[in-house]
Amino acid sequence: MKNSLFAMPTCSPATSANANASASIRPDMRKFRALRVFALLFGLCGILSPASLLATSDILATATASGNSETAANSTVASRAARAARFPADPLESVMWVYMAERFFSDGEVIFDSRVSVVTPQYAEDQFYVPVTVDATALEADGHTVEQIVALADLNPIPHILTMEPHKASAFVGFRAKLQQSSPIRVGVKTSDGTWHVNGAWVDAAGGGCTAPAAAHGNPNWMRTLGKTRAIARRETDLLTRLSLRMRHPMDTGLAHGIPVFYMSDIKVKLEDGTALADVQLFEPVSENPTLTLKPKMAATDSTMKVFARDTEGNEFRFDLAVPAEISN
Amino acid sequence: MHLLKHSRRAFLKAAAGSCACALCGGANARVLKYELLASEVESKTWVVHGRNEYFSFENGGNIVNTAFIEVPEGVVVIDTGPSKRFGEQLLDLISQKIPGKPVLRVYNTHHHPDHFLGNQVFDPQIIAAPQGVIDNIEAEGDALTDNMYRLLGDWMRGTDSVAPTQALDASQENVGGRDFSLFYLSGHTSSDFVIRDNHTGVLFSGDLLFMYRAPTTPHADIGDWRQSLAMLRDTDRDLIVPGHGPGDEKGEAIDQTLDWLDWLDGSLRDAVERGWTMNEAMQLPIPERFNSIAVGKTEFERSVVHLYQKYEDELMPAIEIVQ
Ligand SMILES: [Zn+2]
Repeated sequence: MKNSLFAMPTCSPATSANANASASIRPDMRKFRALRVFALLFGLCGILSPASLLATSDILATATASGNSETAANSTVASRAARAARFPADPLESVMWVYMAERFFSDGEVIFDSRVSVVTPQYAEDQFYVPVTVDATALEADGHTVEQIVALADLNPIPHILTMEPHKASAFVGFRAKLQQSSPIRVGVKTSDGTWHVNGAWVDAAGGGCTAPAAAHGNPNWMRTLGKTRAIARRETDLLTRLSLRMRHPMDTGLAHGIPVFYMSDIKVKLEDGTALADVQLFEPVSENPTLTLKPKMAATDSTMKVFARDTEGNEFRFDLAVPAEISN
Repeated sequence: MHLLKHSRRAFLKAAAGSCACALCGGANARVLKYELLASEVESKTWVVHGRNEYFSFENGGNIVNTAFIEVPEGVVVIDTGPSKRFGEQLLDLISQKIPGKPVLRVYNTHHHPDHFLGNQVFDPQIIAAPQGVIDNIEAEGDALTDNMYRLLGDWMRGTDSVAPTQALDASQENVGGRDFSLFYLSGHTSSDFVIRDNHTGVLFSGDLLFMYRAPTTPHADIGDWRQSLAMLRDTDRDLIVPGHGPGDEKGEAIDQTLDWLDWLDGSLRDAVERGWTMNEAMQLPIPERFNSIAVGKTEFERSVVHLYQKYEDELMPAIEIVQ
């Protein structure tokens, strides 16, 4: 910002140099920037006609079914109906529901349950960063013990976003995901009786969140900041804390041209004595610079939480975080 | 859940409608008229007011203020609207109000697509903006145009992104016998251009000022924006024509824009410091004093996504890690 009204705003030479450098390194960079631009400005949907959506997903469903070692001939309407009958009808009417249920929720009874709150915007303003907050504490209030929270994007090329195990934490997790196209964000919460409590919401998104390179690759020195961490720990009640952490990582999906898969895969939070508070397994669709919000259960006498993180290349990052004894709102 | 499903259906239906129009062509295309009205806000100064809404097929992207001024030897145009079709209809309106005089100069206030996508209908040699605006249009104009097609369908037919050819850096220029003061600011985007007609005292602020409509932030830097507002407050003028919303003689547009930005900045800082998720921040209530500000809830939710990570990188404490 110039101090004079008459000063000419300078176009940052650093920025243009970076843009040129990255364009020569990666020809798809320009397209990637373009995609980011629309997402940022509008965040409105890739407008798919319902017909084209069904057609695409039908191909996907057939492809995945044969990938499941069934022959294409087996994927008849009748066998699909039989498979679908195992699960309740999907209130989100996703063409991928049965496949998602078979792949992720087949080891227990499946019910759609509004006690699983899945909060996400209706439109993805930026398809690289779609914020999601899952709160299944209503199940805990009804006496259930939550073992796992599994978050999926049905129509992503890689649907599994993350799995969180609240060993000694509220059934709560906040994260951001990349969306390849408009998709349901679906969350299954497994309780100790073996039941999957499922809920979710559709998010409309412009295309490309999973196949575009991470913004980090625009900076040639991105490796230097790998694992750089920011975090906040607060105490919400005598027994409950809130941890927000943000770690530098490109979270490469392996789907962007020429960039191999490389992502933060595990984040574990423990007490000083090693007691597990929460384990999070992250997958490719988690947004670049993964930012997680958890609510570990810690007594006022527990003053430190220990965080261990590891990525798919075996890089490990650990840190201790002091938790205040006083409650802050 | 039911609500969501219904609105999605409505949305797809609207989208299908726009696709149908794009396919069926000529005859139908002529139906899409913006019904532009010019109001003479000062002697020989007309403003074409857009609606205080977000882009939709219903409004065809006419959500923006454009303006034109009769100067002794011709016409000066400020911003050109969201599409080629808008540009054509704006040009018709100009020739009705100011018959027989040539357009001598077109200014673009910044690179947002509702402000410059009518450029195509004007002689490229007379379209002028600061170098920063030109650079932004060259870098992002095509992608912005693609998305406008997606949002507005046939309204956009034939529209291309055309960058200004004249890079300005002077503090004043005389166009056709009229002196204009030129201000090179930033904050709404990295390059925001403000123009004052020194004869009438009308100040065209572009999107640095919003009146009765929530400011948009996809390229915003709130610190820079505040400095620009302080400068605009100290700038002599008789009337402000904001980028969106009605004309303003008293500087209320400055107060409204600053009030919104201060609230947005404070709310997001507070949310990040509490460790809230973006979704939790989006649920903050909009204070009652903004009840008269259109699309507040929508723009606030968009702003959370635009700005939250910058605040996280600024406000969340850095932690020493052991590798
Ligand atoms: Zn703008």
